[in-house]
Amino acid sequence: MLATLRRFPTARVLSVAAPLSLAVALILALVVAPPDALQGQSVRLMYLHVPAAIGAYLCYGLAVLAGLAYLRRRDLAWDRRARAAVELGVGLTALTLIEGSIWARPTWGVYWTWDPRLVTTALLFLVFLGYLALRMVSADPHRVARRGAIFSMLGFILVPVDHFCVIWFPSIHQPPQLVIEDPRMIAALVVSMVAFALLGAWIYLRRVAVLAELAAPATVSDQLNVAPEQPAALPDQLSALPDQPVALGRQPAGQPSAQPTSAAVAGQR
Amino acid sequence: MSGWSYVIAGYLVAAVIWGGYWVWSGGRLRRGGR
Repeated sequence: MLATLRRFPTARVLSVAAPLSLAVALILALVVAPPDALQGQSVRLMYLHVPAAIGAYLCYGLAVLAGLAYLRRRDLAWDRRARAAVELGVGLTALTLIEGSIWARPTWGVYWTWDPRLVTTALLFLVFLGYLALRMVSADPHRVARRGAIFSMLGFILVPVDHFCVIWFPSIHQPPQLVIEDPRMIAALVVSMVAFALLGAWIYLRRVAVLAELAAPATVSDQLNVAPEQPAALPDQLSALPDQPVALGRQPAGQPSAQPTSAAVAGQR
Repeated sequence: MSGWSYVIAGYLVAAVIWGGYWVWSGGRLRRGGR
């Protein structure tokens, strides 16, 4: 069964499903879903902000699991999966912060406030940005992977703190309740989450494949090809040519010179 | 700014982030990209 699963054309399916779900989500979010009674049109930003936040949490969770798998098996493929997950997670966290900030301006009157949820999310962003920076410190891939796995586990502590802080420290940010009465709004939110998940999975798999390619050793054909910076060696007699053409004696006009011309030398190369 | 202005700004930012990440994840931004 695992062999059947491995043969499943995941990338091809995602390359169709992801853009399709994105198109449907955009139509639902921008056209079908009605404006909110209190927030007006800016509620449509929630169809970006909420899926981005949930997606970021899932990415960091995936990074932790991949890190644990690396620590257990010492296989760098798991480290590549962890790295790609954190990269996507950092992008989604940035999206969460930016969309939330744009939404906050018409709703709260400010782009930013020192609310516990906002501060923790910003901290989460910086911590996992730090994970990516930490990866550049060492040249040893196994040391990088080990440090990354431990660091991501420590950083992941912020995820439940981020989620529950709206309950522990109630402030201006909404608590995690989902009381939406209009089914069109529910549909827009759910389809947006599906679209984010499919898009994220598609991009994630592409990124993991590229990381694997970058890490792969040179193929035999690469080793046989001559690098373009190294010209092929000249035959010995041509390499002894002086810079200036030497007159061999008076040549009749129109007769070809006995000496190889520069074009002939270039042709030999 | 009207509500729609914020919505358009937000969706444009999302398009830039997602689009940029999609291009970057494909490995084509490396020198001599494939």
